[in-house]
Amino acid sequence: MTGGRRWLALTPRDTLLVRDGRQFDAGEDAANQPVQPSPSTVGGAIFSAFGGVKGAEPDEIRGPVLARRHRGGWWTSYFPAPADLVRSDNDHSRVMRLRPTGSSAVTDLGGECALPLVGEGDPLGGWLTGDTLGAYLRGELVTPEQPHRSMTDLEIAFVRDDPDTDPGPLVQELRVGLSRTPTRVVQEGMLYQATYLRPVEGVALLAECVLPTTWQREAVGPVALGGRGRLADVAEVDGVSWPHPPTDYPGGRVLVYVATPAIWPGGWQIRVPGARLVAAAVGPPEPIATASPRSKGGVRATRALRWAVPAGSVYLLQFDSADAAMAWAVGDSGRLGVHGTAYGRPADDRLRTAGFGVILTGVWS
Amino acid sequence: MTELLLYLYAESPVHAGAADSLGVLDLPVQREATTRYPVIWGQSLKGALRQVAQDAGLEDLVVPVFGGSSEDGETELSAGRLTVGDAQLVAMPVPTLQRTFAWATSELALFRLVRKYARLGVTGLPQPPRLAPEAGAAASEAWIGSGRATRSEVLGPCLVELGIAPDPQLRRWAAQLATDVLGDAGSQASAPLAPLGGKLRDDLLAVGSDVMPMLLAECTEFVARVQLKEGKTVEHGPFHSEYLPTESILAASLTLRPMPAEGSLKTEDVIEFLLDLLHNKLIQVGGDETIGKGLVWARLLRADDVRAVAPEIADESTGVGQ
Repeated sequence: MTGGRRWLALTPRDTLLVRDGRQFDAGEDAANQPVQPSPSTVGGAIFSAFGGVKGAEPDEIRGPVLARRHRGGWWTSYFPAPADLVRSDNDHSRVMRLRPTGSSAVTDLGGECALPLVGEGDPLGGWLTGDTLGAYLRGELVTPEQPHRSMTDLEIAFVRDDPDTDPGPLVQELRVGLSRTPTRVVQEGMLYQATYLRPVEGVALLAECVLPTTWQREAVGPVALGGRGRLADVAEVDGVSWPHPPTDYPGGRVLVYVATPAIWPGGWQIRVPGARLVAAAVGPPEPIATASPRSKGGVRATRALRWAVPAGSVYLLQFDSADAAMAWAVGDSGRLGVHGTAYGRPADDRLRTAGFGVILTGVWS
Repeated sequence: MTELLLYLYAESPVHAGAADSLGVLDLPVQREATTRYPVIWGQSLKGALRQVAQDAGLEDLVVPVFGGSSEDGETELSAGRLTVGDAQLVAMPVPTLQRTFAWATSELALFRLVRKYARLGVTGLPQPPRLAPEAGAAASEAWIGSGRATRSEVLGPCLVELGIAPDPQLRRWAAQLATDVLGDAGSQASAPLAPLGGKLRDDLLAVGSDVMPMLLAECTEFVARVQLKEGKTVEHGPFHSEYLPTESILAASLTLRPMPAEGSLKTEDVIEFLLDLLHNKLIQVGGDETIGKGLVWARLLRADDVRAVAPEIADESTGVGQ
């Protein structure tokens, strides 16, 4: 594998055990809770796939992106539904979009976020295909002329209307474990349960690897993904990309869609030089636990718990001009844009290079 | 990394117990959350394999391969070099109105098996047969062609059409499984399960995605049990346990990380130890050990032990086309 950008797929062999940052020990606690695999989990696995040699790392890993492999070998990527899409209160089959609207309501946000997003409905949840998310980013999915769309039109996958029939791409599987003594009886107090995640058939975690031009390493599996030594197969995949950005940003209005959990310096707020935050739809904070078993002191000495803006969150920004918006989002002649890259942290920050805060840009009105 | 394929063939009903009760079923078996296919969790299987090594007195092998345990309070906790995947269902016996029973498998189960073989580096295996959700296919003439254009068979609670001719891909899979699970190839004639090879070659059926979940739900064994007082009256119960039936076939991927170069135990030595422990050996997995449950014949295959069974060998063995 040479330098450039490559997509890798991590396909769990059976189940995953990915936990949040709370401490859990068999015999002391009775249960733990699973979380979606975070960028650091996937980044660590990819690092191992490339040999796990310190100093020989990809420049950046961007992901994870949930995807499903089809029988013909092609992939469909899935992204969390944007937080400003809601299902109508009266008819859950209809999807609407919250709109930034002037209001006399007073909030404790001060002038940081001028307009509330207004509309009635329940959070959509579920996952959009990459193609559908592209239409959303271009402003073609829910428009002022067509304010309601049906769930069928949107090809929304894994919506949890009924957990029995559509429990999501990573289904929770409760497992009970016990410890036995040498005389084959259960050790007292050593009964525990853990919730594993079982991917639906064909579901994998994808990530884009930005590799140095001199890169010669191949990604080799299997690698441990998450806890309990659960293994995932590794493969390079073609035909996968981030949804394409719009061709222009009328009025300097830029929508930022958070594709992977983001840990911004400003907490829940995104700060963009030259732009004003107009409105935001941000999901509940997501605990992100990181640790480095290879560093001095191991996991216990290096683990940290942070709170991230969840994937699917949406920010509406206002630039001074369409050109300024365009330059920031997709770049200009002298500089690369932010679309499809991790944002908000220094270039060599480990949280950035592991894939936290990948954003996609779109338009809003 | 060294990849190994472990087949398990149930000699007695297997109860790898799940986390919760299910309706009137107090003690269900472990099942996958997505497909509801029965499974033996990797953690359960690894514990059973560890017990086999301990029972064999291979203490030097236990900690480096299976990991250090805190149960004796002396051994330092450490990760073992062996990763044990879930034992996934390959085929399960279902009652029929002729030939006593047949093994039911599915496109999904065989696709998973293809991937396990691919990890070993084995190629040239047939694609699993593609079936309509309500349809079925048979590996041999025994289930086909009684003079009627199509023929339906009673499989457990289902009536399934098996087509008008044996499925050639399934026939190859039957031969592959007979060779690898039962060891009935010429050089493996002494394998304990080899006499069953002829039946597996003939009586492997594949069913569609609507039929398989029903068979896997309805064709496991349900046993009511009670606990008696000294006076032979019931103290507790009845309670109901579920078992994977005898003759079920499961497969798991085992992955062995290289042993440390500085250690006395070499990777090749560990593989030989594992083969001694697990190849053509009867081991015990799951619960109810003391009432004879959970006995399974294990076969541990390395890449060099496996080859795709050629179609002509499959045909010769079943007599098809002769």
